Amino acid sequence: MKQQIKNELMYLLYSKIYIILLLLLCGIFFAILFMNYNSVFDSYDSYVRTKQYYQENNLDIEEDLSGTYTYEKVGDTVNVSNPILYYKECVGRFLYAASPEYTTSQMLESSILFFPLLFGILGLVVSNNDYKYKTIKLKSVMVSKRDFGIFKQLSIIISSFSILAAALLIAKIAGYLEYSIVCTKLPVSDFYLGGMLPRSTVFTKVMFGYGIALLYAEIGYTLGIVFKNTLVGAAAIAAYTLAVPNLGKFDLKNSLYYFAHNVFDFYGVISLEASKETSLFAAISVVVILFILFITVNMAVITRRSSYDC
Amino acid sequence: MIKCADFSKFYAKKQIISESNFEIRSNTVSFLMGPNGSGKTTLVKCIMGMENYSGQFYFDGKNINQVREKCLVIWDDCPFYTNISGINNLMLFDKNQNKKRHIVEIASKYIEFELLKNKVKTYSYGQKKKLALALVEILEPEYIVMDEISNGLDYDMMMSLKEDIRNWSKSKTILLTGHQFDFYNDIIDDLFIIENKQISLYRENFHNSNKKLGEIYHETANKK
Repeated sequence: MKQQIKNELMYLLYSKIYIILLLLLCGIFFAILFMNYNSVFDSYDSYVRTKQYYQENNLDIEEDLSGTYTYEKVGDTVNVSNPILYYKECVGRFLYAASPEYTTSQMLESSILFFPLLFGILGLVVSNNDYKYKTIKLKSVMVSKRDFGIFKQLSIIISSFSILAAALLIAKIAGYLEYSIVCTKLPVSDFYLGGMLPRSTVFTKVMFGYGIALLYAEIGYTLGIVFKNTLVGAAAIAAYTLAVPNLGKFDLKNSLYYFAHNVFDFYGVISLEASKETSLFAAISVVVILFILFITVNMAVITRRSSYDC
Repeated sequence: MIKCADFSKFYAKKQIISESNFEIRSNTVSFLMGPNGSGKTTLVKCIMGMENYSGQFYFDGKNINQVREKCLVIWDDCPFYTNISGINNLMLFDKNQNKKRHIVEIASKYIEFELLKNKVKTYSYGQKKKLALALVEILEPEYIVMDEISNGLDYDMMMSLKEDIRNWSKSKTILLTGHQFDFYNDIIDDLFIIENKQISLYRENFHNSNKKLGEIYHETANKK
C-alpha cells in the first residue's frame, strides 16, 4: 500500500500536475496580494486627498480623527459621515491585511471561493488518470479494486496538503516582500490599528482551508470515478460553486459560508456573502454526511464496476 | 497452478462462458485458443478479479487477493501513461522498490536506452510491447498472462521472446492467448480451447503431439 501511494504521488509529480496546481494556487494568492497592495495605496490616496481638503478648508483634522463615523450604502451611493476617519481606518485595515501577520489568513479566506474548483480538479485528475491512459487495467491486476480506491484517496489527502502548504509558504514569502515595499512607501506607524483580534487561530484557519480543499478534492474524485471524464466533473463543480445560488440550510455552500464567517475575519480584499439561516449542528451534519456519502459512492462504484472497461 | 472451479460468466442475461473446470499447471506455458469474441479476454478479466463472475479461481490454493502482487497481465494494447517517459512508467509500476539504475539495466535489454527517456506517446505499438515485457523482469511475477503478446513485435524480438517465455516458465505459471499460431506452436506446453462456450484442456504437453495450432483451430471451427 505504501509503495502504491508513493507511486501515485510520483505520477502527479512526473506528469507536472503538482506544479500546475501549485502555480495556479500561487497565481490566485499573488492576485490577492496584489489587490490588497492596490487597496492600501488607493485608500491611502483617498486619505491624503481628504486630508488636503481639510487643510485647504481649515477644518479640524484631529477633532474628526478622534470621533466616530457612519457608513451607509444606498443603491450605488455611499454616504460616509466622517471621511477622514473612515479612510484612515481603511488604510489601517488594508495595511493589517497586507502585514505578514495576516498573510496566511487572507490567503485562506479565498479558500471558499477558489479551492472548490482547484482541488476539485486535483480529485478529478487523480480519479481519471488511470481511466484516461487505461492503466487501471494494469494496476487493478496488482492491487484489488478496494485497495486501489483507498490508495487513490490517501494520495489525495497527501497531495492536497502538500500543494496547500507549499502555496501558503510561497505566499508568505511574497507577502513579506510586498509588505516591506509598502513600509518603504507609506508611514505605516501612523495607521496602526490596535485591537484587531482574530476570530480564530492561524492553525484553525489552515485546518479549515485544508478541510475545504480535501472536501472538494473528494467531490472531484467521486465525480471523476462516476463520469470517467475530467471536463464533465470540472463543469459540474464550476456550475455548482459559481452559478448555483445558495440554496439554504441543507446546501453545502451555506454550511461552509457559516463556518467561514466564524473562522475568518475578512479584513482584506476578500469578502463572502452571509450564510442563510442555519445552526452549528446542521452545518456540521451537512458536511459530514456529504463527505461520507461521496466516499461511499466512489468506493461502491470502483469495487463493483469492471476495471477493464475504461 | 491456477485452478478454475465451476467458472461461468454472463453479461446481462447473455452467457459468455458456461460452467468450466480446468487447471493451468505451474512452470508451464499454457495457451488459450478461441476465435474473436469467444471469451478469452473475459477469462483473463475474471481470473484477475477485474469483473464479477460465478465460480472460483485458486492460485496454488489461494484466492486472487492473496496473490495480486505476484500477478501481471500484459494486455494487447499495453496501457502506459503516455504523458510521461518510458523509464518513469516502469518506475511507477515497480512495486519491488528497485533502484532506477537496476530498472534501466533491465529495460535496456528490451528497448534502447535513449528511447526510454522519451514520452510513451512517441512509442510505436511494438515499442510499447517491449516496454511491457520489461515489466516481467522488473516485477518478477509468479503468474503471467499475455494477451496477443507477439503482435507488433519485430522478428528478432519475437525470437528472443520465445526464449524468454521458455525461461520464465521454469519458475512461473504462464497463460498466453493470441492468434499468431506460428509464434506459439513451439513454446506451449498445454493447450486450452474455448468450444461451445466452455473452456477445457485440449492437450497436455502439446509439444509432444505432431499437430499445429492452426490445424486444431480449423478442426474445431469445422466441427461447428
